[in-house]
Amino acid sequence: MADVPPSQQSNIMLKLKSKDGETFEVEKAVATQINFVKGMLEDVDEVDGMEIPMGEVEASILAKVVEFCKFRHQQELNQTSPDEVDRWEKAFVQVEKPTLFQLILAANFLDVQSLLDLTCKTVADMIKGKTPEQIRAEFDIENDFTPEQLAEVRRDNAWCSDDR
Amino acid sequence: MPAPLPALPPELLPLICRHLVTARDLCALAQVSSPFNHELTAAHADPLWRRVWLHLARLPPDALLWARVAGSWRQQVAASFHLARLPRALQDPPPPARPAVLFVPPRYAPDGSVRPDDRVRTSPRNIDVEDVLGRAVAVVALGFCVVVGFEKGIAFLKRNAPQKPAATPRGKFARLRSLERATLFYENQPQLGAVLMFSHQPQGDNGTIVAAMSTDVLIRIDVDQDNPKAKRPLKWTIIDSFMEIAAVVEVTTSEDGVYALVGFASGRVRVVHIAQGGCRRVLVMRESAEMIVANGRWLLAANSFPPIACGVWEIEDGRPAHDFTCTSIGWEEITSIAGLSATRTDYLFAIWNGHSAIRILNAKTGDFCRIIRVNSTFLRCPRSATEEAEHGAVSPHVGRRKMIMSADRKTAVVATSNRAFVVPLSPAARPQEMRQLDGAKRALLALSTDDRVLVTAESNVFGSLGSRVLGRASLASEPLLRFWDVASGRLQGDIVTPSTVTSVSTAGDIVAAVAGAVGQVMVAFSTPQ
Repeated sequence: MADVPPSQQSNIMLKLKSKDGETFEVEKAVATQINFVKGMLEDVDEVDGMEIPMGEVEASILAKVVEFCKFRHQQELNQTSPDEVDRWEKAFVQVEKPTLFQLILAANFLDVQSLLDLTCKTVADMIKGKTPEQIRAEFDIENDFTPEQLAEVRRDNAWCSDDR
Repeated sequence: MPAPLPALPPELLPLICRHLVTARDLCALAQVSSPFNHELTAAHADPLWRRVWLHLARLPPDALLWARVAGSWRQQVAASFHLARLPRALQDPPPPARPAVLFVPPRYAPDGSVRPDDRVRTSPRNIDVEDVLGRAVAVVALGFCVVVGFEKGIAFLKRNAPQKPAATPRGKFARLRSLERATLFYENQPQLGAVLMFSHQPQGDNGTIVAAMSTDVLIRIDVDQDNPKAKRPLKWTIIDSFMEIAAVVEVTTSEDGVYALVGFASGRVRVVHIAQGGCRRVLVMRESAEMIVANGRWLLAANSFPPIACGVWEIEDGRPAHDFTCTSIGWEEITSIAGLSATRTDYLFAIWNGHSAIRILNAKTGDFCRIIRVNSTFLRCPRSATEEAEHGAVSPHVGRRKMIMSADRKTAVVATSNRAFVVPLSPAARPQEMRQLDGAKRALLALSTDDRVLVTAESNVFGSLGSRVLGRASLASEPLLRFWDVASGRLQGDIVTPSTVTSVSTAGDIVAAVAGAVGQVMVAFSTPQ
């Protein structure tokens, strides 16, 4: 990738194309928050207006990813306070569970580590303190253990029944 | 709605679980469904369990020591929970519920190298201590820290001062981290070589440690307790150097802390002034000087195996007082010596034959003034502790930690090859007051500071030399550290160690042991809040 001064990067625009054909025009500095994009640009000299297919990521999810990257970019520029970042992130992950899981998959595929951390932590927070039955109910997971397997698994995990 | 979580690629589950740091959450997740169970019990999930261990695993308030168990970090966490239920305590009165700090010992690969995940890293230099210092050899616990001798240097593990808990979660985690990690200092001393043996004469929480090094020097190690932030908390000074062809087989300190005594396989004993340095005199006995004990006036040295020899000197002028052999009067029945110890009277010394009797020797007259029979309640006699080294290896175990005395010197604890005994030394004591500790095999012994708890560490039949030659030379498949109530003789709990133990030390609420074959040191101590 040709070296471009940071001041000029805001003028370079990229088109991120979702699985269903929708394109999102974003500044290069924002798009390169996505390591997947950054990698694709490494050996390209002329990137302005370049259209980059974003694999299996759907438009609604890509929109969220772009929103996240824009915020991160702004955060870097403006030195947003930690409290403000916390508030924004909490609001950002206030989505339906299927959307959250799609975001995890997208963050993993596109290699956006901070988004992956945020979304995984959100799911983990839903799990914390719950019993196996409550976790199944929370995420609508089928209990596929046979009674014998279940008894064995419970025995195997009985040691932490009185968690400290 | 379809089950969303299992639809995630399996590799993402660890990413989610990275944010779960309690064993309870991971165990609950493992019971949700078979994909979850597989994911959380598979080998690649081990880092998750290590995270649990590092964040939340605690020494239970009444546990003495935590050792790495074989297998996975999940087993390690599970074992720590089991350990939490072992009721025992070193201190009197039993401490209230307290968190503990601990040093997580590394695991070793079959080739002897430390597994990368288990390397101890120190900031800011980020150096792997095991790479720098090699295997652990010997350990001494002081009241506030532990000094560990390695093949290439000395490390100093200091308990961290407890911090006030903060209100915020962020502060809480900072506190937890601080409590979990003791501070480790170390010095690599290529010019000194490996630590062979430590000797320490307790003086309160402090005291001077003397170490014999492989480069034929004797060093004094001073620990700077008063200045815990000192850049160099350990200071060492060479106090003697020697040109001996024979191996060093004993290093000990006189009871008054004035002299360090170095015994050689040739029978020579060097008497070195600890504070001023320099060898004051060299004593010579008939056989290998494997055991040495000295108080302010008398010095006794003995060897372990036939032909038995024992010499008595006056320490100030080096004048020989007695020279015993197996043909001396009263010594005909003594075929082995497993331990020497001072008693309450400054001229009386206890001699443990390793299997059946403690004899009290009067250093003034050279007579045995009393014999205390140590009788097993089993038909089969205890095997002699000295049998451990009968394969020809020079064993530093014999005479070291095979007989120890309570602080008031009224009780001796002695080890045989297959059990240990708590023996009252008072002439008025009745035989039924003796306690027999079955299962304390090939034990090295250590008593808690208050003499209420006895630690027996299963040692190697071949000694540390065997460990070096044969690697995992232990004949014991599951060597055990056991904890006994001294008053009742009851076993309070035990822990499997990674290999047999070659060095054990206790002080206050600290227990430290070196699993010699794998060169792994295990240290635990509690921190009052």
